[in-house]
Amino acid sequence: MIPLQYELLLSAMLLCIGLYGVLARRNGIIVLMSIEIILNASILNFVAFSSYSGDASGQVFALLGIAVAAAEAAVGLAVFLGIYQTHGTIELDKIRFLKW
Amino acid sequence: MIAYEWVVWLILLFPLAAFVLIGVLGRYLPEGGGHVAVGAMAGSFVLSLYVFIQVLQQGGLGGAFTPQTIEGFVWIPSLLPENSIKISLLIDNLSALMLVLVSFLCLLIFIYSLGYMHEEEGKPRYYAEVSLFATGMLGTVSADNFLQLLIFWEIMGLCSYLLIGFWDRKPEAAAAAKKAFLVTRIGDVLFLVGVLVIWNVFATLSFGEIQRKMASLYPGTLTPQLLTLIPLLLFGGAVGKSAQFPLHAWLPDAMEGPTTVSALIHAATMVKAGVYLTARAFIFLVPLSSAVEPPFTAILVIAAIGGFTTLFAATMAVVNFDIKRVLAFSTISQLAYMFLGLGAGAYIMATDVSRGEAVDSAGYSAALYHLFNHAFFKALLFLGAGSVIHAVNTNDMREMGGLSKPLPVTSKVMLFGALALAGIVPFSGFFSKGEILSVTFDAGSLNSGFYLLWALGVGTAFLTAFYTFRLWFMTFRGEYRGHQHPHESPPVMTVPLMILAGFTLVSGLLAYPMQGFGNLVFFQRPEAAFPLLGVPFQHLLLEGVSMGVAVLGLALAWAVYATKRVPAERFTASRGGAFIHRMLTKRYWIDDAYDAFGRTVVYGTARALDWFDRRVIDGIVNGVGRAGVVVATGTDRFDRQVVDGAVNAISLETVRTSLRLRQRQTGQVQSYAWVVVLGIVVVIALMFGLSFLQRWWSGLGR
Amino acid sequence: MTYILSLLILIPLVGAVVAWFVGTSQRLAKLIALGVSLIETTLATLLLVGFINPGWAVFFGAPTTTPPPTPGAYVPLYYMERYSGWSQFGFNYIVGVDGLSVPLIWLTTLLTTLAIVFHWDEENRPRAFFGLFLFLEMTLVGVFMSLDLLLFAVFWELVIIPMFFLIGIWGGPNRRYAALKFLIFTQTGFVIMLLSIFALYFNSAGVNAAVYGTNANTLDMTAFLHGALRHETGTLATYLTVGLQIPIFAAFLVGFLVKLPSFPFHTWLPDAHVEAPTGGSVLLAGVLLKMGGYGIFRINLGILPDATKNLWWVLAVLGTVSMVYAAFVCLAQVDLKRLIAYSSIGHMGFVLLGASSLTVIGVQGGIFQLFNHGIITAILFMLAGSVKHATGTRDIPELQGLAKVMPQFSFVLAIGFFASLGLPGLNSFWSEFMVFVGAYGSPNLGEMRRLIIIPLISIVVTAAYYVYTMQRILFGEVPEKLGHSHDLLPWERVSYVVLVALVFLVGFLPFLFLGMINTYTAGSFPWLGGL
Repeated sequence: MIPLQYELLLSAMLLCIGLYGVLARRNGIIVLMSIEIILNASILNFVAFSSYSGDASGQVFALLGIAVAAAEAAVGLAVFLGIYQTHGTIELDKIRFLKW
Repeated sequence: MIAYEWVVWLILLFPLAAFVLIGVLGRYLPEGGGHVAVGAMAGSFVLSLYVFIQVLQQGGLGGAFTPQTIEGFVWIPSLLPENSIKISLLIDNLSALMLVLVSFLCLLIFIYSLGYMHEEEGKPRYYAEVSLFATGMLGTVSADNFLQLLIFWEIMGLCSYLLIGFWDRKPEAAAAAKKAFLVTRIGDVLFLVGVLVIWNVFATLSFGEIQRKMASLYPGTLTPQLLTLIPLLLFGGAVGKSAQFPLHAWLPDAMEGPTTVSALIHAATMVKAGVYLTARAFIFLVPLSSAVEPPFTAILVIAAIGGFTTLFAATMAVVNFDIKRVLAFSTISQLAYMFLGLGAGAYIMATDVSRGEAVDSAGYSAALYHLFNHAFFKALLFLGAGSVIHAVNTNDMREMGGLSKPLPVTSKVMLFGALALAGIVPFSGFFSKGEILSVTFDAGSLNSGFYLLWALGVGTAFLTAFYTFRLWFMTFRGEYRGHQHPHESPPVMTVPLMILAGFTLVSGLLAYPMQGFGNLVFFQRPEAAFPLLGVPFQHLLLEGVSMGVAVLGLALAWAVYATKRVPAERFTASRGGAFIHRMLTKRYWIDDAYDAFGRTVVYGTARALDWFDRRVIDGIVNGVGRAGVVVATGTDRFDRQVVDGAVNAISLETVRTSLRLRQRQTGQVQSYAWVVVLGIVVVIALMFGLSFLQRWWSGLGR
Repeated sequence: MTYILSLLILIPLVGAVVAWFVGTSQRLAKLIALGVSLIETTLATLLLVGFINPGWAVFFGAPTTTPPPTPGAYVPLYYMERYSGWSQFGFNYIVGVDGLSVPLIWLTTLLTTLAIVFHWDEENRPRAFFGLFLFLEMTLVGVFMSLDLLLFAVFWELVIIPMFFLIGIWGGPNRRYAALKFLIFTQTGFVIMLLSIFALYFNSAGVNAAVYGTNANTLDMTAFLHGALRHETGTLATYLTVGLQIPIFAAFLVGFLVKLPSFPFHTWLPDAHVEAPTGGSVLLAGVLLKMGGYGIFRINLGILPDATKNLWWVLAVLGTVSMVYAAFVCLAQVDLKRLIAYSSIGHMGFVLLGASSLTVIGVQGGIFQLFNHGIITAILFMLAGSVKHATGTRDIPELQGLAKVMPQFSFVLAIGFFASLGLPGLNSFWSEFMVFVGAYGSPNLGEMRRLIIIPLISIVVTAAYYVYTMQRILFGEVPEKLGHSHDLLPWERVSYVVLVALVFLVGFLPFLFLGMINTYTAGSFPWLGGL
């Protein structure tokens, strides 16, 4: 059996990778993918603790999280598609309409 | 038959009723109500005479008469009935005689006025005022207590003010009236203080009560100082009313009124009230019991002022050319004789009392005798002068002369008056003046200061004869120097003159049937003695001296003004003589000094205080008001700028901060994300840090 | 008729409302005002007559003394009305009169009537003018009657309002300044006085318990009057302590001194008078000033005797200073009305001096002076109004020889002036004489009684300024421009005749009023010394 620490370590690495993607990359699609990676890191956490503690509810949350991630990806891609169609770009530092 | 009490009251009520009647209806009455005034006065005179006869019948001569008090109503009620102040009348020898004298002279003067004032405007006013004046004097001499005396006294003051200012268009008359009122007012205030002191010492103001209470209150409540102070304060009132030095200045100016008014003021009323008051003040000067030490200081002051004023006023009479002013100065001088007599008499009597002997009231009687005689001859002289003025329309003796031809009656009666005033035997002035001087000489054996006063009196007798005959010669002898056509006055004026002329003889000689005036009017003890008969040789000598100097004065006047053997200019030729003449003409500059005092000190004080009131007090008030406005403005600014400023500043700063913070809202999602991440990191760091701290802390506790 | 007192308050109030709303024409307004004030004066006269001699009382019955609530107390209050419905707040409607207030009430009604008569030709807003007069009458009568401190304060305050408008609307050129000055001065005095009323209220339970047996705070003045009296006569051990009385006394005194007015709070008076219309001046000097004196006798002496015994010297000094100071200031005045205003200040000094003497006769003199001064000053202010009406000026230097052109005026002026300078035989001599007797005989003074000569100076100076004024305006040749001045108008003459008759009547028969004043003084202040 793989020790819990390893799984948590992996999850933290995924989180960091995802954060890097979200904060540093310009392309909206890449950011969206990085968010998925963060989500996956959290799902991995759920699974790891579930198996560690022998409680099945963690697995249930993991499944729920995958479903949400899928829906989110769909919505996110649709938003970016719309932005691209109206503004002609999905570079995040060009998109400023949240500004005051 | 009306009750006796009512008879006495009616003496006062008749002229008072005349005053009211003339005051209300005077302009509808003939002669402006003059007949009403004369009628009322005649009524008063008849009743006074009746009262006087009653007094005589009940033993007035010789002192068997007990003074009667006619009780009136309460003026000031008090819970204790004996402390209430009442109006009551006192009838004793003195007041009964004074009532007759006053009402008789007022009657003659009123009758004379019918002629004298015939062509004047404002007759109702004149007759109303003189009626009230007569009421005042009758009330003064019949008052039972000092307060009532003061009230009637002041009513006279008011009337003298109104009558002196009768010719209201003359500025001099207005000024003279003002002066008369104010100068006498100073004396009145002293009198008022005297009344206050008496009330607080004796708890009564009635003459009789005071005399009775005196011995029991001395020297506890009534300290010797108070006993000296009270008569001096009363005398202060007398000095004002009787125009003695230093309050004499009003009387010569009072000649601005009609001559009848002058006669009224000088002969029967007003100025005589001062002498009367001093005579009433004898209850303080001469106590009943020898246990009370008499106030010799006060007596000396009275005598000294009398003695000084008599010469002082006579000197000023010598240089005056106004016929009425000469007579006015002579009045001051003659009144001063009376005060001298009262003072000297009181000194002798007080000495008698302190030695426990029976009192000798010769001085008291002599002074009041002189008052009695003076009333007749001074009324005569003034009315005669009025007759002259009526004829020549001027007061200035330099524009008269030689008037004995056109004015035969007037000149003769004036001669009678002049002889009486000068004190030539057998005219009335001789008896009383000689008596006063001999009493003064007698007092000299007790206090040698009286010898000096006697010398002053004798000097005055010389001057009196001189200025009196100067007046008579300048008026009636020589050539007429004026430009009128003088003619004799109508009988309504000359008949009173002739009656008065008769009295210049009779009033002196009356002393014989009365067995001496001292038998009728006296203090404590009557003294029956015929004038000039059976008296010590020394007295005859003294009376001879006073008459001798009078004859000398007469002779000098004759030499200077009738025959012109000695020209008048000789007296003013030398520098010293000129200076004295100027000084006398200027009345020793006393009037000027008073005027200057009034103008500078009194009015200056008034101006200064007015300035103070407007500038300082009102300045403070306005300053406070202005300070209030300043504070209000300041508060307003504070409110606008600080309080409201704070409110505005908060909102403004909020906006400004938000503007600045808005800059941070870049719209870049990633920058927001950075913040979120940083926040999470901080939160985590805090959690770790805090839990660490907590553990460290609890570790310490263990 | 037990409601006589309330009736006296209500009649002018109703009259004011009626005159204001019903007086559609000038003529109707003044007729209503005159009628109402005449009714009021008649009622007050009947009241007065009953006080002069109980045997003469008609219509109301003889004055009946309210029995004192506890034995030993005797405050001679007559015709008292008392409604205690609100007593849980300490407030009662209590009105009552005695020898102190009856002369003043009568004076108020009389002067109001005469002021209305005097202003018979007023054409500027007559409805409001006459209405305000009646309203003023109501408030003044209320002040002199109320025996509850709150009621007293309310009326006291209400007095200011009509007078403010009378000066401010019908006044002279500088009226706004004068009206405002009057308002601020009296209002400040009132507020300071109010402090004392509160202080009395919060310390009243003990007194109330001792007198009426109710242990609650009260504003009932009679409780204090009875309490003070019993304390002074030794039948009540504990009353307000001296330490408490003194500050209360001081604050009341400030309010009363402003109203009186006394030096140094007097400067509102000349300005107010110079600007006020004649009728306003008459009531201002004739009655409003008397409120101050009334308060001093009713409250300072009546309620706070211990403090009075300690602070009498304040009254004495202020009274003396007022008398001498005002007399000198008068001498320098040019405006006749201003002169009269200052003379009022001097005459009110007599009231203070009389009160300070703490003798029966001095206090009586002070009270009598209130009444006498009311009559005389009314004459004088009317004269100032007449001369302004007739000649167009009040400046003494511009007036001359009026004895020739205006003989009736001159006659009244002479009487007014002589009465004011205290000539014996006229009314104010009596009060001034009594004040001096009291002040000289004051047991407090000791050797200092010699200082009586200081206030006596004012007598000479008073005579001087009056006689000097008469010399200037009555005597002499008539100047061109005054040649056609008309003499007194008929309605003016009516007012003068009544007042001059009173001057003589009271002068000859002072006991008419002194009787009731004596009863009041002796009954209320048995602790006074002197003869």
